Amino acid sequence: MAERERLGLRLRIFLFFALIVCLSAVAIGAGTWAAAVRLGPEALPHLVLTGGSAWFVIALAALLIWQKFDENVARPIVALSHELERESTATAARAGVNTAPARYLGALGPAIERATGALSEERAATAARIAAATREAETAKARLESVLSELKQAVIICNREHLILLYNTEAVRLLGVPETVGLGRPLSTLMRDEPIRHALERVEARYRAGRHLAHPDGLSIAVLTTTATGERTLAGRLGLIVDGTGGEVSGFAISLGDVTQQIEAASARDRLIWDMIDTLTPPLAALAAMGEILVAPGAPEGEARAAFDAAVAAESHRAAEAIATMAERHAGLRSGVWPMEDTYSPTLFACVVGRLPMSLQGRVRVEGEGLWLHAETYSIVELLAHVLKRLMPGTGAVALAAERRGGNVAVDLLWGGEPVSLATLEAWLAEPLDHALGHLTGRDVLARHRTGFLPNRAPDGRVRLRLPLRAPIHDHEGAPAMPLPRRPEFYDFDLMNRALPADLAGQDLRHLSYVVFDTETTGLNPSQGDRIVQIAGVRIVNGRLLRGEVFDELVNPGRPIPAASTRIHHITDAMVANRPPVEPVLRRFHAFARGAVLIAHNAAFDMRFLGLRQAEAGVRFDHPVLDTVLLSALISDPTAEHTLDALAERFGVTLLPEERHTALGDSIATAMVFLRMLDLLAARGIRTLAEAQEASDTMVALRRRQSY
Amino acid sequence: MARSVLIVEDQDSMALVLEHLVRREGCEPGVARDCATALEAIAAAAPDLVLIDADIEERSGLDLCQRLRADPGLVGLRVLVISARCARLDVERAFALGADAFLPKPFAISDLGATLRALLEPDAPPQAPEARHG
Repeated sequence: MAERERLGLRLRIFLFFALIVCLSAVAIGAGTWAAAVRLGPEALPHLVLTGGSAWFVIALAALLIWQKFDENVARPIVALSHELERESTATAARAGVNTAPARYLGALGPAIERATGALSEERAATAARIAAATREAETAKARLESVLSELKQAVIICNREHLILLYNTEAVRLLGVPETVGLGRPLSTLMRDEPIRHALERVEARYRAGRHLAHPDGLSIAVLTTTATGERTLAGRLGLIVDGTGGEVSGFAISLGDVTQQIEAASARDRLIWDMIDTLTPPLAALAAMGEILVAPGAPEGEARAAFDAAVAAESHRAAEAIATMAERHAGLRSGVWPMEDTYSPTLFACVVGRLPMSLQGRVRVEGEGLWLHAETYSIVELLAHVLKRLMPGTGAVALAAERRGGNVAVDLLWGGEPVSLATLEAWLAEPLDHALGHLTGRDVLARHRTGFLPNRAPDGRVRLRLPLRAPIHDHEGAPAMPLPRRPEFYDFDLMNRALPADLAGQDLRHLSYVVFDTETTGLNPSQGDRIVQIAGVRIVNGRLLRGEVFDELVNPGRPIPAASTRIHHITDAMVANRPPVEPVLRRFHAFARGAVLIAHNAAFDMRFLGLRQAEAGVRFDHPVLDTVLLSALISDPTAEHTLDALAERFGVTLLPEERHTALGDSIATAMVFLRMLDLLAARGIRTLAEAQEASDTMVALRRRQSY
Repeated sequence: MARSVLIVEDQDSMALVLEHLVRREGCEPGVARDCATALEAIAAAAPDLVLIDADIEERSGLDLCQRLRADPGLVGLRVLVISARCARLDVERAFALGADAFLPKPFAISDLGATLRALLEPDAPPQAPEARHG
């Protein structure tokens, strides 16, 4: 449209000049004719010559003027409009508009220059603002990720439908099974949902009534629940997520810790106290009464007195025994109230040294290997620093060391010279430590840790003040047990607005949750005893392939793996020798695939193997199933190949060579192929699960007919 | 004629103590070690008062108390319950199940004497005034 108008401008000007030439021709013609009528035919040749010359001059002038006009006005305007057009559609700041052609257009050129200059400046500023905002968002996201992954509290964020939008590594550790922690999964698969719903109901009621504004807890509330299996007790807080101020409730965040130990310890303590009352009261009640009777007037005498004496002795003995039993039980209790944790001795010693005045710091040395131990570190650091502060004015350099001692780990203070007397040590321990510990003395800290200082001498002759502490609870040697990537796709806020699919069939293929899986087997004939040796799968949630949420387990097939099969999947008998049989793995895979649509390349094969032992495993793989072979047949040339390699190539899916032909690698490749198929399927009107399954069924029928 | 008191107690020393104190009040004590024996003794000897330690035999003393109260033939029988469990709820339960008086263990021997005397007075109200509530 604009192109035609621009061409039209020069044409219209040309036509205007042409019209002038034509009109002058008409005027001259008319004049010549009028003169010829009056002057007679003999004057005609002169008149024609004069008129023709005049017209020629006019035409020539018009041509010249048009040429100049075209060159200096029309063409520059066209050129400028081109430039402006380009400028307006440019995506980034450009060098500016070339206004050279506009030199005869007066102030137009400079005005355009100013306008485009302002435009490009504005554009650059906008681009900078966007870049800054994007950087900020990225930083905030990275910060959130790192905070969440380092946090020692399990954090889970859910939408209103209790589907998980975010979780951190600690949540996976705390809630156990990685195959059930995952984006888009219902919270109830992880923990007992009722207490959460109850807490949510209360805090929502508080929010709706506006009471949260004055409430000390605002929009948060305490929750106490257990893991789905009930094995662990979880305590923490739930916070309501509200869109803006006074907006709709869009979900909730829960932070949880494992309080199983604390609660067990507290109830064990309670039980101990009650048992103590129950076992001590009868002998003490009898003793008290007998004591009174024996000193009162009319006390029993002779034989009766002897019976009383025997009873007093028996009950005293019983009470003493009861106390001894209780003391033993008390010693066996785990200290659950104090937040004890595993700590590394070099870290602990560095903290101790840091608490000392500068004058003493240079005289403290850390010796020996670093060991893990279990303690409430803050109070132990305060205690050791306190003892050093009292001790060091009277000694030379002091060494700090940790040593394994039986089942414990001892922390030693070592110095050359005189030992410290027990009375002095006791006096130091009676002094209060830091304010933060609430006037706690060193003796209190020792009591909490059920330990005490042992003064003796080290084998090298130095004086040693030894503090036995507990060995660590967790195994810190070797590799960390958690096979999870450090920052996998742990969150998906697009799920915020999605409900639990009530009716999968009508759901858009793009919004379903999938588990794309692959099995490796001992052979191709399940009916002839071939068995699964590996199951792997990967999740797709909201159109995203979650490489962080994978299932990959080897299975002991209970029979030798033929060499021919090992050549394909590289799984040997030795690799599966210590692996579980298929049943527990099927159960775990079933949990991993809960609520999802199953996808496999040539799904019938894999489903056959899954179905074979599902009864023994006590599960049923009755998920909806899609097959990438059938889907590929729906959207491609009937002669095309449908092997996974061919599909991967056709859809531009590349995998590392070491990933290919592993169950997990093939699952990922299948998942990527599937995601890229979705557009092509949609183009053929296949948008919902029901449509995909119907089309697949047609394809199965067609293929069956062709094969007969 | 001396009043008779049946002591239901399985702890030897406490039975010794209670026997001594009952005798000191001028009553005739009998001792049953468990609920079944107690029921037989009550049926055979019809005591004026039963002193039940609620803590006997997995705390079945209160069951005995309830059974005695359910027997219409034993309307005049006084029941004194002693127990180491003496929280408000335990005391209330003892009275609800038919105790005339409750004494928490450990007790002062003078309290026991006074309670016995109060319960065994010819016109004693169903609940002894000295009975202590936890």
